[in-house]
Amino acid sequence: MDRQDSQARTPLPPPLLCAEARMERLNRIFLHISVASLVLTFLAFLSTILAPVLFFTALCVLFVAILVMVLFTLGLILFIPDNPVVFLWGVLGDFIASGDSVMYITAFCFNSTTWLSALGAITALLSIGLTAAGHRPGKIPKIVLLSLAILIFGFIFAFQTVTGGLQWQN
Amino acid sequence: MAKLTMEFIGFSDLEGHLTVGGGIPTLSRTKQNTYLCTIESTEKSLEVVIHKSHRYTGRLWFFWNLLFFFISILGIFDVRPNKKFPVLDGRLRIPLEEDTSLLIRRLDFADGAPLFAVENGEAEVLSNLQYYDKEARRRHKIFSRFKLIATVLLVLLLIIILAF
Repeated sequence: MDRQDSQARTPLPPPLLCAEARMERLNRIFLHISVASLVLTFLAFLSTILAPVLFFTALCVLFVAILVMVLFTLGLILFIPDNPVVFLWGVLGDFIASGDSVMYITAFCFNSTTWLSALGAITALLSIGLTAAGHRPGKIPKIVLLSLAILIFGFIFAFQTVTGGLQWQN
Repeated sequence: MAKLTMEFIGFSDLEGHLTVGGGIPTLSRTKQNTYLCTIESTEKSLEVVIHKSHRYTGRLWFFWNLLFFFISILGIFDVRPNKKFPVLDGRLRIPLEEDTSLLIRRLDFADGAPLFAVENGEAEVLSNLQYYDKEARRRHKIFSRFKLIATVLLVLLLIIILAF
């Protein structure tokens, strides 16, 4: 009954106002994307700066981990003979000694930096276009269409880069 | 040529849209936070429409919301709606004389209450109502469920593409 009442008295707004409301919503969506793009760009910038730091931090953590592991393994071998844990540590020790783990950490650091930077560069472009578009309510500027095209291209590019990065890590 | 001057009191920036004689007028803000609108016309009368509706209006409501769902990247960057979906519907016809002035005051929101009061002038009120739309709430529930299912399916698709 309520629904029937509501339907009966909900008037259809004039088409001009419908278009105006839609355009307002579109502009606000673009403004949200623009703000998110700026944040992403800033994160990409940070990651570019921090990548070497992260890499060396990872190396330091790895070095300390190896040291602790060696000492722990030595302790196990010396004080608790015939323990199955010794075998497990031995396998892990071999893995670390082979250098594979260093390669994995390096790959992770540099891949994440690459795709974040690529995404950041595209989103920086977008944020300029979209912010400009967002400040002109009631119109569809060409820059919005251009930004949309860049957005689609950016996502395909980022998707491919991430997929490529993951494959390389595997 | 007749000149119409309207002053709107109590309307906030993002509340509702206005047309005068079928077009969107230019409003100027005064120091007292009211809006002034001046129109010159050769017509005998002008229809003024103050309207605010929700995103679930019209026959193509699902299509438009679907479009915005994709544009806003799965609704992440979409505008959050007022979940009660208030509707403002005000229409009035103003007979034009050489110099007509009108003062329209916005009344407080209450479900089923009048939207405005005309002061300092004459106008034929065609519609004057503000209310919460229950049908919009039902449509919002339907679309929210659709969004959830669509998002889960798209994420699954992405995982499958990434995995193989």
